[in-house]
Amino acid sequence: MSDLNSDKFQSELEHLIVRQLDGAIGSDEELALNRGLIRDPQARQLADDYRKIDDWATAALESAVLGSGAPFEAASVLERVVAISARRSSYSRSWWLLPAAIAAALGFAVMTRETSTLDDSIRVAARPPLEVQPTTNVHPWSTHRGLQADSVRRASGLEAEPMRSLKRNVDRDLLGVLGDDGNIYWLEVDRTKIIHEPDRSSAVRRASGDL
Amino acid sequence: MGTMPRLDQLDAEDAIIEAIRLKDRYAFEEFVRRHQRWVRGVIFGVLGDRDAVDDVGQQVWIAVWERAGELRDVSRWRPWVYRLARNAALDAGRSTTRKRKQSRAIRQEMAKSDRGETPEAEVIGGEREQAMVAAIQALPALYREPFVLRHLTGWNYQQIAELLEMPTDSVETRLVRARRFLRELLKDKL
Repeated sequence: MSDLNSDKFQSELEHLIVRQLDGAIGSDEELALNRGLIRDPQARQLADDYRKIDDWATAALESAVLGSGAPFEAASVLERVVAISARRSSYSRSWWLLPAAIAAALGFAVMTRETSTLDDSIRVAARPPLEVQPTTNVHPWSTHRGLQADSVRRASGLEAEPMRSLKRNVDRDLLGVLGDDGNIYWLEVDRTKIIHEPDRSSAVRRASGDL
Repeated sequence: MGTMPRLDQLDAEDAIIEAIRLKDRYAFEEFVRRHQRWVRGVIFGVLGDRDAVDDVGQQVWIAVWERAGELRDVSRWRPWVYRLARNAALDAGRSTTRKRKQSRAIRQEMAKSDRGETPEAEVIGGEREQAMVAAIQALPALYREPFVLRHLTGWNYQQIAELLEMPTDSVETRLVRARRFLRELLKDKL
């Protein structure tokens, strides 16, 4: 029990010593501390040790953490900070050049592609007139559908029916061409379709002949 | 230590922060001059590595210069700077490289050779200082941080508690335990 009391007393004294060193002690506490120090030689030793620790620690930290003075100069810190900050921002600017270059390259590629598509459309306009199969509405360039249409036609017995072809103008293209002499020459191109349809007149003729 | 601003004087710092937000170099210089001590203390307190204090401190000031505009409440500049310093120190602690260890070893060797030419009193003082720094570095970060702030800045318990966002009693307890640790570590030198 006396040991416990002694430990508690030592601990309280230790706190009081530290508070005194840190300038946080009240006048009553200081009185109690002084009484304790007079009574207890171990407490005096502790107070001496802590005082030394504080003095050495302050000196050691001043030297170790604040350095010899050069790094503590605000102006030199500012110089370095501003220089590094500027270098970083210049680096970040140059870093942005890469995506910009990629974007430019992509833009160029897209423009080139559009020009080539434009050429294709001109070539398409110059294609020969398309033939439209009467039995289907699918695109005439689709081979697969065309075969399907043929098979349907064969299955329904329409193959035997005589067909006739009609050429019809469906559209007219007007093309402007810049000549070597600087004049613009206008070309008119008729777009036609050849339509195949059952030749009813011959069928009628054949029917009447059969009769 | 007497030049350190007290917490009740901090309102005056708001204007400096506002000026830094506008990239005023003089304001920044003044700010660094006023607060470098405790910022370096925080870095050393967290990291326990004096060789890293310059580099990490520089990172903190770069962050203050570049990111002052992001600070929403100017009156909360101190916790903001504290967090910048603490996070930078923690990051540096994680990425301590072999290179740094090597350079530290070289510097220690150079210090030893320099010591050979100094007078005896300085040798003793230097050794004691080295031992003290080593002992502080060996402290748990929990105790080191308030101890370093107390000894570098001279702040009272309340000021340290505000910065570290902990009760004043905890600061006192940690300061008692830090001294107890140091006494044990330095018992041969005392």
